[in-house]
Amino acid sequence: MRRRPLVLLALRLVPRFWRDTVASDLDIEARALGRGSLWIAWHTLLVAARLRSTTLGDLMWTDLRYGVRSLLKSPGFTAAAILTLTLGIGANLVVFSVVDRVLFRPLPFADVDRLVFVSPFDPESGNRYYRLAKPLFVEGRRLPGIEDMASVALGSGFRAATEPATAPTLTLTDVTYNLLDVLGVWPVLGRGFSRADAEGRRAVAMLSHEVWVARFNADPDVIGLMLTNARARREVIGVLPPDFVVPAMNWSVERHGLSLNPDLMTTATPRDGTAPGVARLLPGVSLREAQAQFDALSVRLDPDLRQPGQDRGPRVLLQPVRHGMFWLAIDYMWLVSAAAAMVGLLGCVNLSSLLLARGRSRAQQVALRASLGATRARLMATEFLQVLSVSVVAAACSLVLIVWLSASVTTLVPEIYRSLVIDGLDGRLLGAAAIAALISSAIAGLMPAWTATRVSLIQVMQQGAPGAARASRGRSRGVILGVEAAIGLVLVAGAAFATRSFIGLVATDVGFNPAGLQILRIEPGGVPRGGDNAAELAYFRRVIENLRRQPGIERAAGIDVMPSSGMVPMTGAEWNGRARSGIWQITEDLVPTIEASVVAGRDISRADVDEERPVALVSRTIARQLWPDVSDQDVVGQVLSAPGEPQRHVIGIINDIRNAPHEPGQPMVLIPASSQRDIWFLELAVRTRGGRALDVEDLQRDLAGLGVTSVTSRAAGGRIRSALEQPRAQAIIFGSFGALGLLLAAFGLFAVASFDVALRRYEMGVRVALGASARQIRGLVVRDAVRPVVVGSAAGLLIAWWAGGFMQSLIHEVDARDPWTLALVILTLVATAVVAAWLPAGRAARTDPAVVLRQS
Amino acid sequence: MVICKPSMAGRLVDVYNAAQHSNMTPAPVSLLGEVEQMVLLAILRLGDEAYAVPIRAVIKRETGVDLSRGTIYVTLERLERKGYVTSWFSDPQAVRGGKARRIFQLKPAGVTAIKAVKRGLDRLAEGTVAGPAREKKA
Repeated sequence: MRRRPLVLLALRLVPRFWRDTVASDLDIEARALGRGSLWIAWHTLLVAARLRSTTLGDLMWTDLRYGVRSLLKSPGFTAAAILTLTLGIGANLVVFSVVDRVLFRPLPFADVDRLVFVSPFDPESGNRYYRLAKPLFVEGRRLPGIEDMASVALGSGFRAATEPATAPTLTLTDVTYNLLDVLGVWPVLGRGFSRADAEGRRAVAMLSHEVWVARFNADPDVIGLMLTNARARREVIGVLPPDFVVPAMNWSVERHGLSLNPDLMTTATPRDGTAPGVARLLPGVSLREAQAQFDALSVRLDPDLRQPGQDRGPRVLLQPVRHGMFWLAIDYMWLVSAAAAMVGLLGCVNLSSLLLARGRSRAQQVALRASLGATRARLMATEFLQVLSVSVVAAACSLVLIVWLSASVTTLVPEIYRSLVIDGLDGRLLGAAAIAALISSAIAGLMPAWTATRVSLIQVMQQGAPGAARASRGRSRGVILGVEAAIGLVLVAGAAFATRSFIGLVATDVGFNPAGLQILRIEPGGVPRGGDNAAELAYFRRVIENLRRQPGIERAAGIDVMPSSGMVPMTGAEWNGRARSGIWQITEDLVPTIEASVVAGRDISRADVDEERPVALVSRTIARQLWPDVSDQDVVGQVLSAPGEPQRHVIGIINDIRNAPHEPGQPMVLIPASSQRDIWFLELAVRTRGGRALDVEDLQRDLAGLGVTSVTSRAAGGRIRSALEQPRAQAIIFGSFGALGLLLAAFGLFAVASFDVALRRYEMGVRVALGASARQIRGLVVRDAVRPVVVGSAAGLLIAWWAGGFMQSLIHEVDARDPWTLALVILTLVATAVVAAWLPAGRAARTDPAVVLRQS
Repeated sequence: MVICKPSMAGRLVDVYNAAQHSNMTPAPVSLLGEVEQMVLLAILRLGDEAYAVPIRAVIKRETGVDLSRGTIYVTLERLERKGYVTSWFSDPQAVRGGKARRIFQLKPAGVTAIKAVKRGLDRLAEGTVAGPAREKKA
């Protein structure tokens, strides 16, 4: 019987081993039954489906075993492959554990897409404010596009003292009664707040699930418990679901539950304010429509809400909840994720190059399998399964690495994002690892699998023949080198800018020496506050004298409020009608205590304080503002005058003191503490001997004789340290990514160059035979390796230029497109390429033409 | 065409006798699935006419079980991989357009295996309603 095309087609689907058998058996059967070719084709298809479904699983298993065996046979290659991919996948998983909650993890609210933040906003400056005019809130709830709106007062809340006294206080966030309804969240125990609670002004609260479990052992009797503090009490009426988060602009604050604040919703006077709102849009209402409705509302209410002297009343900005919650972090996290993805890609490209190199050496093996009847698909599957097993091992290594490193990774994350980090392994991280393994095998494995299985038996027979596998060499090699260079350049540029910015910040003179400087706050008991200023001043000076006598203390002085604390003194003035500044009252010895530097003139002396002389020390900034054209020396002796202030002579200029390294210097006027003014002296600066820590309890005992009831102490550098946290994290993250990138790129370049040299042995042999010198050969190999790197760098430069726009917002006083830095980065990359190609080039230069030519 | 070489036939008898007269615990053999047992027995029964079409037919006729063609092939492949059967292509049939058929034949290990399974099942069934009817002693 002549086989019909349909039968032939169906037979193609039958595994080759069975093809003839099935064909003959069905032929015989069809003959016996008197059936035609359609019947045969159909039953062939059925048989094919059955055979394929069982054999596929078996084959995979066989291929996998084969793949793993051949990987184990070349442990060097396998180790290199796993290492390169572990670095790539590990970097991504670490970053994923940090960014997942911000970027991807679903927020624990129903139908999140309809939730928006409603925040007060100045369209001119782009600033957002904390205080939302109540009429906007009350009327906003009735807008046609709004289902309902609730309010969350992050700044205020209820702090409950708990048993035992050492346990941290519970901090509850003030919210309106309808918050849970707006969010679509239900309590797991008890009930939520109700309108009746708000109208009856009941003092009720809900606990977070985490607090309920950790502090109350998940005791259902917690309902009805009274939380108290010195002034008020709240009755616990419910427990929030696990993982509930307060929808607030600042994620960072740890919150233990909610407390009902009925005042947030009622309007008293039009200009009353409430906290920003969270609104749920009606289904089908877009953000733009809702924004338009709010805009119309704020225009309508404008006359009532306008503050005296303002030309416009408040406006509001609507913002999707996820973006609103994480707007501080989102750009940063995307950038870090992008950098990690690049490291991952580099790892994959590297693995690709390794596999390409190995594919060449395994050509004989592959050819043997092909000649024994393995199909192309089968060969590719084997190759691919090898890559997959490498990826799976690498992903597992990365997970182990993450668990192992999780503590140190967390410390790298700036404080405000730390609570976002997923600690330990969770389902999503495992899923991410699995996906990373799959994606990296796909990226790294496909091209090498394709190339490795495209073997020609004849070529393999003529092993080492001229031109063998040349066709694929040029393209894949150039592509790989170019991609590596481009990614490497972007990563190294990111590292360079982040590090420069961080070093710049660290090197910034904050105007004083925070090391070993403690700021004390004392609660004076021996003197009535706000009464006799002279008595208060005398009291404080006694305390300072006492401090100076303490053995561990080198110097001590008083100041209204330490300038690096982020606060300014209560009093200020507009000097000479030109510039404003705060007025700090200080005692003698402050400047040496905080180790600020006097640029010109002299410091405030003891006599200045004793005699209450009308003198002042000014900071450089205010000096420049007041007397822009006068030299530092000549500023000394100038006169400061302001309404309500006595005239003062400038006796000296001090260097600017900054609140944090990235903030500008403050305009400051420091004057000798005076019995004519209210004495604040909230803070005492103390420099300890040898930077030792202060024993506060000891100090409190010593000062008890002076009636001091409590002493608290903080390190003056705390604010500076926390201000440096994010830049440091950035520098470390981008720096390590850059280093990883450079390392991986160098490794990849080396592998590709080695592969190339191995492939061109014959050519090199001919060149040497024709009289090429070792130097020429070396130059040839290095040039060939560097050329695609230069092309790739150019592409990378464009990407780096483009990414600089995003990077700029994260770095300080460094231009993210600084040509010199970029030039240096390119130079580094090219130098790396030269170094990486040098070793293989040396090997090529040592080619012995006699050996090579005889082989062919 | 011979079913098996003489030397192999001799070994088969040994194996058979050993299996018949041994009082020892039967050596554990790898388990045979129901379909595998049926296919093995069908091959034995068919002799040198054992190719997929009659194997399927004989199973259906004797047991009423209608296995799909694909299942027969999958089982044959598995049995071949386990070393219980072997196969070769016969000469083309002596008719017009006649095909060469893949003929299957039990290897000694296959015989041992099916016998061991059969004996095991018989022992398990002995004395129960599922067991073979005992001959009454005179």
